[in-house]
Amino acid sequence: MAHQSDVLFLDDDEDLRATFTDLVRTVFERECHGCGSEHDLIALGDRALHCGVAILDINLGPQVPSGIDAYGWLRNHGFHGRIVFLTGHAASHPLVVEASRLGDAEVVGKPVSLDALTSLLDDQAPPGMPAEHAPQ
Amino acid sequence: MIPAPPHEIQQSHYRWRGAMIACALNAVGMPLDLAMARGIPNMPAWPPLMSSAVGLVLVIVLFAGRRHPITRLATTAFVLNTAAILVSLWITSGAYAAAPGAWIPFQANKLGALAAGVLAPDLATGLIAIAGFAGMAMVRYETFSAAEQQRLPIGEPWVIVIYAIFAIAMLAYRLHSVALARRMLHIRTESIATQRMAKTFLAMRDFRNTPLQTIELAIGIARSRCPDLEPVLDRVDRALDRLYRLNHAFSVYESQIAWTEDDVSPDSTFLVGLDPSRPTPPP
Repeated sequence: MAHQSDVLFLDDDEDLRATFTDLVRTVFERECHGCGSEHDLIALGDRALHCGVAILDINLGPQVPSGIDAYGWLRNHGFHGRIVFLTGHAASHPLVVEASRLGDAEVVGKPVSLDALTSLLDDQAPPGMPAEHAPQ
Repeated sequence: MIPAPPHEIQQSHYRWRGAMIACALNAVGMPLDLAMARGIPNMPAWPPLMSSAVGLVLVIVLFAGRRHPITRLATTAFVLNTAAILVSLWITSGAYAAAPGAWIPFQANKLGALAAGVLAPDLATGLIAIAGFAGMAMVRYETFSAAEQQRLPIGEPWVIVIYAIFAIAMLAYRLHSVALARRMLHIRTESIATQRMAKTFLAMRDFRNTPLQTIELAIGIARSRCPDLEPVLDRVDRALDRLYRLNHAFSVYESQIAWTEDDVSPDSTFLVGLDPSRPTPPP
């Protein structure tokens, strides 16, 4: 069973996923559930829905559901945690613009520093991100 | 080999098409002139047939080069076609002038001048052709006998000058419009190329962000597990910082992009030419 301190990380890049998971477990000493697609996310089920924070890559590849679709699934299935979109795209990119309009999710540009990640994983962090987190 | 820009290709095709139509009109029109002149005494048949044959040959030559139209060929064909028509008209106009009955002189010359204004491949060729049609009529008029001149309508041969002025105006207006359209196409081509380049640069930047993120986090893990590596990791940090600044430099291209549906989830690996199925080359 997942705990509120657990972190959900969705990214189609396997190396980043493994590194992020490793980092969260090693440095932050929290459980991290990594998945590479919306399909993997759905397969995680309750373990995903009970996480305290979800970090979602916006673009999960061509012709596949995006991180915004994953966001929709999480919210529709009762996910109450904090959702952060992590993207390598420009702020003007249509998917990034769409993610920014969602209101109850933050959009952060890759690459995010370790300090910024620390504040992202802090459940008590106030909504809204510092300027350095904004997508380029 | 770098292909010619679209606006230059379009211009070559445009000139080729004008010459082609002019030659085809000669090939078809001259036999009609011969048919209309059946009742005219001493009307030779060979000049219209010769002119028509020249037009036909030029049509064949131009048609053969339709895939890669050459401007010089189009211009040469247009001039040769005009020359063949003028030779034919010079000879047939003598027979028309000598024939009994009313003759409205130099109709073909007037038509030819206007056609040159519409179909000439370029300004110089158009002016030469218009001057040829008008000049031939005026010189030919001087060769008519006084009796023949008196039978012609009032104002001849100067009416041809009015036609020539109208033809030159049409030629200038058309070439100006063509130049404008060409400039527009040139600007559009450049805009598309700039968009494509900007998208490629941004795709390269976006593609780099994920591996950079991996390195950034991996440094954090290494720093946590191996404090002895701090000086080394600081250097990696500084190197990463330079890459971040390089990434930021690409931001200027963002404003130049008009996003489309196809850009929503582009396959960056193929966009920047990195096929994941190919092995990574050794360092």
